[in-house]
Amino acid sequence: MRWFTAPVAAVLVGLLMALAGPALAQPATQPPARAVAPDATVAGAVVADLAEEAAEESRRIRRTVERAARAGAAGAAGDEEAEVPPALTDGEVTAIAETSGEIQDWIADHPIARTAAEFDDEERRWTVFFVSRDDDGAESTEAQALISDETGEITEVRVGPQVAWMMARGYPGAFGRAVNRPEVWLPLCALFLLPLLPVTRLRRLVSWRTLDLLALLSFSLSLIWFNRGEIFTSVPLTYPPMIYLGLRMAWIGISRGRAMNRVAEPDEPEPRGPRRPGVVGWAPTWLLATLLIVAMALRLGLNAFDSNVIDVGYAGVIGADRIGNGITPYGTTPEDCGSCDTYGPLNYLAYVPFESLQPWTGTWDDLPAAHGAASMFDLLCLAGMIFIGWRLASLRLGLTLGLAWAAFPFTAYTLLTNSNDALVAAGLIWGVALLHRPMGRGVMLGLALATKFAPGILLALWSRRPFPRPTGRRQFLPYAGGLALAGAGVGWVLLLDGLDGVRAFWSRTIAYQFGRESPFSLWGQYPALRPLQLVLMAVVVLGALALLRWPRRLDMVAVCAFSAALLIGAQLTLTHWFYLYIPWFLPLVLIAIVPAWPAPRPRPAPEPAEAGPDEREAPGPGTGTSGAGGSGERDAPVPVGA
Amino acid sequence: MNRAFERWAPWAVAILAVIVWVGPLQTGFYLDGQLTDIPVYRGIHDAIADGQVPYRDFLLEYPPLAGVLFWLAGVIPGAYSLGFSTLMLACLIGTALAVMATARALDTTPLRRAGAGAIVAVSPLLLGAMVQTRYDLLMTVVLGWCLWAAVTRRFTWMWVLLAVAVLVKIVPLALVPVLFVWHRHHRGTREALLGGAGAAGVVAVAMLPFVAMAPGGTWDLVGYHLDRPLQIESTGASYLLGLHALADIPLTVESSFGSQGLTGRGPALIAGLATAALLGLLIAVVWCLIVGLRRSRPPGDARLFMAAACATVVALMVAGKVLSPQFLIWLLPVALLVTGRFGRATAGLAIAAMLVTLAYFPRHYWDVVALEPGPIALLVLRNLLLLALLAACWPRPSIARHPRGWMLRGGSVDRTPGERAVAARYLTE
Repeated sequence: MRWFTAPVAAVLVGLLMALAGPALAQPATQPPARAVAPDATVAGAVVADLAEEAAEESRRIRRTVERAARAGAAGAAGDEEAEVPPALTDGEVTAIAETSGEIQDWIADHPIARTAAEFDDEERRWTVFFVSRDDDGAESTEAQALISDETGEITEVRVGPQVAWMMARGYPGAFGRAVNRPEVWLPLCALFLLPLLPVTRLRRLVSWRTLDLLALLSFSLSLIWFNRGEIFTSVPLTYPPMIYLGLRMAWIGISRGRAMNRVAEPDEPEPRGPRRPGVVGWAPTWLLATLLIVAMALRLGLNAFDSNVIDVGYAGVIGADRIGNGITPYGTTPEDCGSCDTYGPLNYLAYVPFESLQPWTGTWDDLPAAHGAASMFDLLCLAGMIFIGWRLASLRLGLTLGLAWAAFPFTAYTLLTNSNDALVAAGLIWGVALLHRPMGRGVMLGLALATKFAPGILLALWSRRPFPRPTGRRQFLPYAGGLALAGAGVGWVLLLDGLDGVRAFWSRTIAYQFGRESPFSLWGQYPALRPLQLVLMAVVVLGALALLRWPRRLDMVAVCAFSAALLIGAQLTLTHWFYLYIPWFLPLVLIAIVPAWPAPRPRPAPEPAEAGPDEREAPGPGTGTSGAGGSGERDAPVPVGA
Repeated sequence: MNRAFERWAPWAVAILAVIVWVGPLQTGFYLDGQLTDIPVYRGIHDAIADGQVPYRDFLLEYPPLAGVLFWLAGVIPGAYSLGFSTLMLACLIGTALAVMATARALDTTPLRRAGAGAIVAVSPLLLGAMVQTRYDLLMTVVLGWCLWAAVTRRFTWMWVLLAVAVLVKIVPLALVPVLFVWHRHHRGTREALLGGAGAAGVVAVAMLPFVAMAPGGTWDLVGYHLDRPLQIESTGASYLLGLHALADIPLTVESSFGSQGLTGRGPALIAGLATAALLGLLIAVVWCLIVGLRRSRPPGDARLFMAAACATVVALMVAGKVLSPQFLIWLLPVALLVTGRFGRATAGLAIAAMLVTLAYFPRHYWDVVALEPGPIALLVLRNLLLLALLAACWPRPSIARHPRGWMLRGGSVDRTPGERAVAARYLTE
């Protein structure tokens, strides 16, 4: 299939480089270019434009003079508190709003019942509403135009979901500020991609791994349109890479499971080659360390000096304040963060140390506690990735994985929005690091689950022993104990207000998430696809349950690949999806694809007397992954932290 | 021929330094638009000549021996700037000779000694006219001979010269731990403590009259440097400037303490972190030297010591909250004498850092202050080169074991006469 991956990779790189540069810096909302009448000559068009500009200028002067005259009249009357009346009228601003091509396009498909205009005296700004009415008589705003009273110019247009969703409006830097700039984003892409690819050996460059890495970066294409406020383009563009990565991860897990389940031929030689994962990239250790320092200096510096805190980070600070005051965060959030209590309890507990150092002032200000917490979550992820690579093979692999995390632009995006999503990733990363310890992975998965609920899809898979070597110990109970330990460690937050807190937790989190509506998925944009969404949900859940028994043998790669596939599958079915969710599955994908994993070793051929009807594994030596005679303990893929 | 070359090499280096100084350095390329401290020095001279006492009657931001230099420059007949330039030329020659002498003490060939001396002699072309408008060469000549005394184990001279260097500029104080460890390695803790106490005594005796006359004014000498903000060319500032160029983070540039610095909470935080990093680096250098010296024997131990001295000086530059362009002059007595696997890289990086500094200073300095992206890129590059230089000259134990580096060895491994004899025997047999 290499003949196929090369052109696809080339096309993806070309698209990425060509589109990301100019488009990432595109202004948020641009009015569509004015069409020139086909029969008009260029000179005629220029004259017409000049005449129109002159007329507009004269109207503007007239409005200014009228406004000054009214203000003077109000002042002469001795009424200092009198408000200066607007220069424009309802009819005038409605007429101006209707000239917007964007609004015209929208209302052509969404007929409106009426318009309304509202004047903001403080901002000296008009808002014109285009309202539709459904069969039941319920009204909804289809479009809005903001018009300056002073100049009579349209300053902003909102159509469809942009009316209700501020995050759909494409305000520059609303999420992550400077990280969206091409001069930051593109170097991060290069810093992520180049050290991971065998650029010095071109023949090895054409591989599935290259395509996987490009697929991870290709979410950037969607972000371009999101930053423009064009979510009907950006949302569909997120699905191809997610579907590809989901299927690819599932395939890696399935193929490794099948290979491990194969019984070796009696005279089959033991597979040759290294038993520890290697590093595919070309960069030496010192260069990886240097690049990692550069990437972290850039991320942390931007976080300190040029980042913002979105509602997710704000929620954490508020919750920590509530817990510090001995009350539950659920149902007690202020009005400016109405849905801020929709996360698991760990999300609020994790902010407590930072909030106690930099207490919340009661407003949505710079929120230094959120900056500190987000940086700590990010550093936990980085440390986990380095630890995993180091224990698996070498410091070089650890630095490679660490750099992959630090340089991946969407992890920087998560950090610079100061959201809590890296906390979910940290739980999963350290869960993988403790994969060989059932209680450890139970605790870590429980903590991830106590932050956001999506990792719950991994409960069944992670209950299994993730290494093919046999063991005489039962592992489910320690695993369940770990989950319970994590639950008890954070669950007390729900009881701060007694049973009311538990009820509030249910209604504000799980019940809220089930009833959530959002334009940030195909399911939200096209409600007719709801049956397909339900089918996909069922497939993902069935897949998660099937992994309880199949494949019969797992190794670390298969566990990570299946975990990533399940998380991606769960995200595919979400009604509300956002780029901040990419870091949930990113570490698992990176662990599955970045190291050069040794080929899975088939099961040793059973002795004739021992061969049972179902060839079930039995505890004891010689039933490991390698050839006969090898100790399972020694031959299994190296467990992290072992 | 070798003996004749060895005899004439110092003279040739001195003549080369004079030619460079009076020739190319006085051309328009180097003189145009230069930023000079000469008026400040002249003002100090005038004040001293009027009978005023430094620290009591006027603020002197430098230690007292610097004041002696400024006074001396005015005593020389002719224009003040010419007299100062002549003194600095003498210091440059003295530095070149110190480097050659130290290289000789490190058992190098005459050609290599001459190479190191020649680079110092032509260094004004790499550094620009600031060598004759700043007094840092006085410190480098004293420091150069101090290191020579250390390598040749003239420990009394080493401490005396260190005290003199500290009385010229406070910076060499940072070398005290390295010199102490070196002295202790050879003569024991007691003698090292006595040496350090002697140096402290020399400094105390020199400072005592001023402290007695004007304790507050003398303290200002230290307070002046502690109160300075994050200077715009420092590594921490260049990090912020890089972020500004990339992401437009807001920065405020303020002129104070005779230079331009960044003010605000962010720069103050970075300055604090840089100071902590500096302390950590100095401790790490000393620790590496202690560990390395345990397993080394002459002349490897001297090479390790030289690397530690160089790393200390470079650490002061990269982690300090001030990194004026003239600080690169400090590299002359140390950076060309580092050996080992990265000896060549150390010299190359030092020269590259000087050249990049020359690319933006003084012509584009005010563009840096105006936060223009191009000169900021040069500044960031210069500071990255200095960071790489710190990594290259780090006193790793392998330096003591490794054959001499590029500056001190040629293509083949340089051996002591005894080792050469053994090799020759095997070759012939």
